Amino acid sequence: MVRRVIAGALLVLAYGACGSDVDDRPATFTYIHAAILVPNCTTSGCHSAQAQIGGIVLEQREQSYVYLTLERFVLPGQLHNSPLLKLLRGREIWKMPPDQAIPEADIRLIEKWILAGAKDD
Amino acid sequence: MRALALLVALAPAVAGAYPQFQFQTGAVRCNQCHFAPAGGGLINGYGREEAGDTISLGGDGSFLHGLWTPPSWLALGGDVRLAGVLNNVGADFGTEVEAFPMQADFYARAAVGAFSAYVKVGYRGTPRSDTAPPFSRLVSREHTLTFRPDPVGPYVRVGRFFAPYGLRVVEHLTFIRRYLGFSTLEETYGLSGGYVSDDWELHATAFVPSFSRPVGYREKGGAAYFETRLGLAAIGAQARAGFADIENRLQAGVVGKYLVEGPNILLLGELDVVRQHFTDADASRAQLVGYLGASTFLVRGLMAQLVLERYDEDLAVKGVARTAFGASLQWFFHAHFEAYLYGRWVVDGSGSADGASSKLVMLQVHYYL
Repeated sequence: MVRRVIAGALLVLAYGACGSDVDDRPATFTYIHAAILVPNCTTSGCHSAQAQIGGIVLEQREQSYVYLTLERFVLPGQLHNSPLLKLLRGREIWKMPPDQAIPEADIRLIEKWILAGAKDD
Repeated sequence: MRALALLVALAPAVAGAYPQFQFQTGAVRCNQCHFAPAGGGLINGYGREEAGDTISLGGDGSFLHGLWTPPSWLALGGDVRLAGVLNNVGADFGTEVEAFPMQADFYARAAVGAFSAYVKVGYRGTPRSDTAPPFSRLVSREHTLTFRPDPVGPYVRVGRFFAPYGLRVVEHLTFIRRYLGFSTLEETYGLSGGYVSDDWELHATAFVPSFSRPVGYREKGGAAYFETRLGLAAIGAQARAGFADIENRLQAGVVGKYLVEGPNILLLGELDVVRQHFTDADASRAQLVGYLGASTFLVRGLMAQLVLERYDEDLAVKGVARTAFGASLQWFFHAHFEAYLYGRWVVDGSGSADGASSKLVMLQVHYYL
């Protein structure tokens, strides 16, 4: 009984490896903000309006876009120079989020948006 | 700055919920040891006795170690945690070593007949602390008014609290806490009602985001949790619907608890599926979140636990799943004290070559009043 429960649970947990190789998620800021930034950056009280760690608030879409572009965390079309990407990968600087990394596939989606001009779309 | 970020990122949202104690200590329902109808937070007289007589190696679990006993209508308590971490999330800088105060929460509950008022007040870290007035850093993550004629039976609760949902484990880093709407400071305001008995319990909650300090998606909605107990096992089911300006989220799952009597190992499992629709982006995703843990008291006062977790943030996309392996030792060396050694290794990207990993080793010293 116990073995069957554990085997079943492991099977279900392993199911997540079955996604598509083609990432057809929209590379728009609206999607990236809602699907990646909010759950990874504004929870735990970090970049919420309440905690404002580093003076950064990423909860609201418009506020996030203005901050990331005006403060030059994102440089349209420039993957190697955009500090946001260095932060997410922990290159030459500390890594964000500080407790668990964002998957590379999500970072590549952000790269697609930056390459396309980092529009307010 | 990094220490402050870590402080906030790693601070527990609700310290004091230990579902690992269920069945292993003889208690079958959470509110045998906690005042709250669904468990968590301030422990009651029975919980304090158990903490001293069954779980810890010895000592008096009473408030202030029994030096002063509050009047019967009043219950007080608190949790203080100090933590040291080795944290490596794959940055060029390597492993961070930090030590920080992790939690300072204080609780008070006053009861008159079937009515009770409860408040939990704590102190949160913020980089604005140099300029912000100290009182602005005070936060009350929970404050409730409850009508409950008896610990077994119906209840109604209103105030700020997390809706009962799934396993309420203490570590908010676990995917079932962090990504299902139960992360640090995400407590909602709600109206909850339910029924608790030795054999089963049901909790239903309607909630809205915090009025003054909302965090995360800022959802309003409803949640329900049902658990039935069959001897030394329990099966639960939960559902939650959250609606916010930028997204809607429907989630449901099951919980299983089973005590293997011989070796006295408690198995805890939870599996949730989530359907999230992003309104403005006109896109949806399906998610899977799982937790499987095994815990046992190696000897009295020393609990060991192994945990396997899975979070797939989008089932349609390869490489966005995360798998976590956790191990912990909790040493309750004297009533009121706990030393907690916790290790967690998170691997992302379904094992792909470019997948990153995060490693955390944390030592906590926990004292409760």
